[in-house]
Amino acid sequence: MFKRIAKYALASLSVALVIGICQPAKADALADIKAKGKIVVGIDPTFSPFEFTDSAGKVIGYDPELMELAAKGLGLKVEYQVMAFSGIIPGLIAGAFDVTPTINVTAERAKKIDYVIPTALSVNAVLTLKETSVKSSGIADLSGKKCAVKQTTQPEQMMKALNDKLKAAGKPVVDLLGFETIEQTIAALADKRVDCVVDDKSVLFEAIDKRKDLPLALAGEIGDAQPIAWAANKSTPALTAALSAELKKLKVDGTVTALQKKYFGYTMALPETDFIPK
Amino acid sequence: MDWSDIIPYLPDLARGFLKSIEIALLSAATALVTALLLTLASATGNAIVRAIVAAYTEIILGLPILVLLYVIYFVLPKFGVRFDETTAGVLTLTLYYSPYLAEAIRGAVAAVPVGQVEAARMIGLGELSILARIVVPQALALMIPSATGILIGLVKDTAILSVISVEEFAYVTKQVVSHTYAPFETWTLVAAVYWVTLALFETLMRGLERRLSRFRPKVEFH
Repeated sequence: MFKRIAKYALASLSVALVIGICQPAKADALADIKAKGKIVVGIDPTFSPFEFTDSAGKVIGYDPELMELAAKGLGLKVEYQVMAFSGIIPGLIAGAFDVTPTINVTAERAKKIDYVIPTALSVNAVLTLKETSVKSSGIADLSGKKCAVKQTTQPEQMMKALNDKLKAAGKPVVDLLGFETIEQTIAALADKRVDCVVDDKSVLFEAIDKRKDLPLALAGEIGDAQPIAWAANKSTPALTAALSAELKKLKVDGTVTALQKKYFGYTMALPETDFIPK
Repeated sequence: MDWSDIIPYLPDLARGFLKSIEIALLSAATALVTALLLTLASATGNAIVRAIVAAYTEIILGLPILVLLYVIYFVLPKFGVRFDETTAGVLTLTLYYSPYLAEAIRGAVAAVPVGQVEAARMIGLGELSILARIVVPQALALMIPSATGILIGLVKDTAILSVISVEEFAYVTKQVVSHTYAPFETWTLVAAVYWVTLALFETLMRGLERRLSRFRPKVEFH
């Protein structure tokens, strides 16, 4: 009896080891994806209006709609793999999926992942309660305050960079609390755990609109505007190029502009070259 | 694989690790005290007290720890009860693990042979003496294996506090991964640290168990 149990235990252990040792399969060519007929998209659909879910749980938004059109152009279906944002870039690098939308373009990230041409421009903003001690969205006025951000996102990293400047100037830093979703950062603000929330401006706009029950107010923008793009694994340049080509087509025929009006209410001119910051 | 990417972040990781240890020790202490109170409460004759303990145990056993954490951190403020991040985390771990520990204590006490207590009474030992010299020393040794397993669970679950921005080991690890983009190296290192820590803890508890049960005859299997 014990021998048998030991045998099963040993067998499951060795399976676990083999799975652990095997590198996740990387789609090494566009041809592989085309042969499967689907493109696997890693996504954290909690970033409205860029990417979110409808009441039925279906992934929708500006980027999913564009992604599905681009995939259709390549004769592919889209399969979503939903996960928290903190798992998205590590998952992409590990080859857990083919592409992910709505990634802020940064020089640091560009060393590890490839970007398709940008689909949007983003600027971060500061959200507070209507009655607040935060005088403006300027970093000097945020010094010493508590701010909620989403863990491992570009707004968090931007705030950390601004904190380094505050530190260098001998001023108190902004105390950053990192959460998993935008709702949680808003809840922290509503419960007065923090003085402000820093996130993408369009996301904060949407939050104000959705949470009319809360006395939310936009204090203003913070930091520079940044391109947002889809990202792919560095080992799949053919896929990245094909998606860029499809996006260009969708820009030429006016689809991108129409979708920007639909989801953001305004349009933006998007760069196609030299969009990665130095 | 490039391990050198992680080196600048080792102090951050160490700080996160120490925070996890701090939370684990604090929560283990409060959970053990709460478990003892639960055990004593359910041992009293009072039916209402026992019903309250039973209801509490049922509620906790039916909740995933993540849900309990979200309720304490995000829902309770709506009812005017607000805890800071670390307190909410320690409270969650305490509430969640104390019923399991109480069960381990109850089982260990019940495993002390009744005959010994009766014999002690016969030779005129007082009730406190019986507790201190006969029941507790044996029950302690008996509860260690199950309590160790439960406490290992508690230590591992400190990682979920990362979702309410407690800057413990897993939170810091996610931050480091977002800077280094070296998830493989970072999580491998972190997994090894968790594992070594818990293996060490288990070894210590085994030693303690051997020491506490050194007077017990060994049971041999044939």
